Amino acid sequence: MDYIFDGITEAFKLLLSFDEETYSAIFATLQISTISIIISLFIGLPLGFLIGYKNFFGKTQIKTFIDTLLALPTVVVGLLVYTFISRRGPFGELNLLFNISGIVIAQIILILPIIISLTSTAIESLDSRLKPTLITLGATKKGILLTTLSEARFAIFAASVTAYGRAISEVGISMMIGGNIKWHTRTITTAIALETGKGEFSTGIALGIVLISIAFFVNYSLSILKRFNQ
Amino acid sequence: MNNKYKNIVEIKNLFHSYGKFELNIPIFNIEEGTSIGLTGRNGSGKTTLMKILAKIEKIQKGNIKILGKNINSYENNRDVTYLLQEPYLLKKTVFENISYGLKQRNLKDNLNEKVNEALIQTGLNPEKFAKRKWFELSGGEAQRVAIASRLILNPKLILLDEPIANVDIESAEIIKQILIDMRQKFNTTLIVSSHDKLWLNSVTDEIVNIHNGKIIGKSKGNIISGPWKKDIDNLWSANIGNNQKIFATKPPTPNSDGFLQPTDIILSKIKPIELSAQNILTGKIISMKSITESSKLEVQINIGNITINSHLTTHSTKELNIIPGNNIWVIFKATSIEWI
Repeated sequence: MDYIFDGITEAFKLLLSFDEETYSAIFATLQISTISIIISLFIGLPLGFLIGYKNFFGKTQIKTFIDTLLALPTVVVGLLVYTFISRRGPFGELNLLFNISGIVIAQIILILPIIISLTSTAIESLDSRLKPTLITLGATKKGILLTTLSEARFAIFAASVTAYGRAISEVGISMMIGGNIKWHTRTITTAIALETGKGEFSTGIALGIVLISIAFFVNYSLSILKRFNQ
Repeated sequence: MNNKYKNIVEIKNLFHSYGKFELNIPIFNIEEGTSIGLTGRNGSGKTTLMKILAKIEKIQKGNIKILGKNINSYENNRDVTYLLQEPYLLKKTVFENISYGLKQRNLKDNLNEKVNEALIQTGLNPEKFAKRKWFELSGGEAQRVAIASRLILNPKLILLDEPIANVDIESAEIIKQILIDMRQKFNTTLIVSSHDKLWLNSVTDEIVNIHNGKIIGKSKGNIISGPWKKDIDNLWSANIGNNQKIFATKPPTPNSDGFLQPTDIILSKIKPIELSAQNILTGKIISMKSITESSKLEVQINIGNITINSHLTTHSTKELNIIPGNNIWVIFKATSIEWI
């Protein structure tokens, strides 16, 4: 049992001593996940809004397809992206494999369905009186769109947090596409997998604590933002 | 009030249906500056008519002109606003809710003053309420904020769907005052629906009855005020002058107001005998006018110190052979008086 306590002690040591290798993994994790979530929000919010707001032929089928993608295993996404960006793949020349850009692309594929699905559900769940109210108050088309998004803001925050959580905690993509290259593509999760494999439980636990702390920090910041926005 | 007397709403051959319900209005005009009440059972078509006028529902067949323009030619009719049966407040502060429509119109000058004024008009203290969140309001307060957010737009026509259905008596009184003020200050045209007949009578010039999607008549109901005193046969009576009394069932309080439907009244030229109705009163016909969209006549009769409206078919009028100035017997049951 000592190794658990050692792990916690080690975690604080690594963090407080600003251990370069640890901070490199933390920085890579934050960098990759943040870029992935920003791009995914740019694509996913409008798409989610459209699917939730408009009624069109095939809507149910599209929603079912997107919901199915929610269950995509990270290794499957990793494998698919790998085949496309490996040297023999169609995008091999872009040199994306074992690079941060490659991980970002695969993470976008992973979290985009979460944002689209949760945003469209949030828009669909809005009070049916909202649109008539906005029309009777003389809102412009742009006004209706922005106010509808604003009314769904709490659910959209929750969608973003869920997607961000999925991005920072995945290991399959980072391992397969990133290759767990020290100082470059090594993320917290790939580092944990490596250290545990080596029998270095303490470092693994330390990195685990860091990952949970990041998740807590993100959630706490959003809960403050939510309170501020009410 | 101005005296333009132009129609703000002109409805011609309106037909709208969904499921088994059909709204069918051959002709219906509303003069600018008037206040029209809509009554009818749930599902009679009041809300559908309002939603069509507010452009929330698309017109299926027919022609509607608002302020002389075809309703379809407006992309967004900003002269008309509609208060939903259960108003929705945006998940924002009271200030943001009330200023929303003005901001959408890019009218941001003196926003604070305008919002404060709208709050005061609706009986809400700006200092206390402007910064409150949508969930920090009672039902009546939320209703008044919803009214304020429409009042601030200074609309030419405001449609209010059951505005006092979910509010307390105090809020209902304040809403009544707001509507009266709007008409006096801005000549706003009102279309209001309500099940509360007394309240509706007090805020409208004319009441339109809608039944199964059709306008079946226009009238003002009769409000009979107390004080009521216990009388014979467990009945209560109110003195209406000229040695005449109106009998009714036990009122909730001695000062309650009673409501009498014009259609519940029978007229007779000769004094009826052996009739079970407790109210057999004599009065003088002061006016007779036809009710558009129906084959009925509205007959106004002066009885003691009150005026009673009664509806007669043109056939009965011919049979009775009556004209204004004639004396007439007015008959109705004590149970016809509903307490408000």
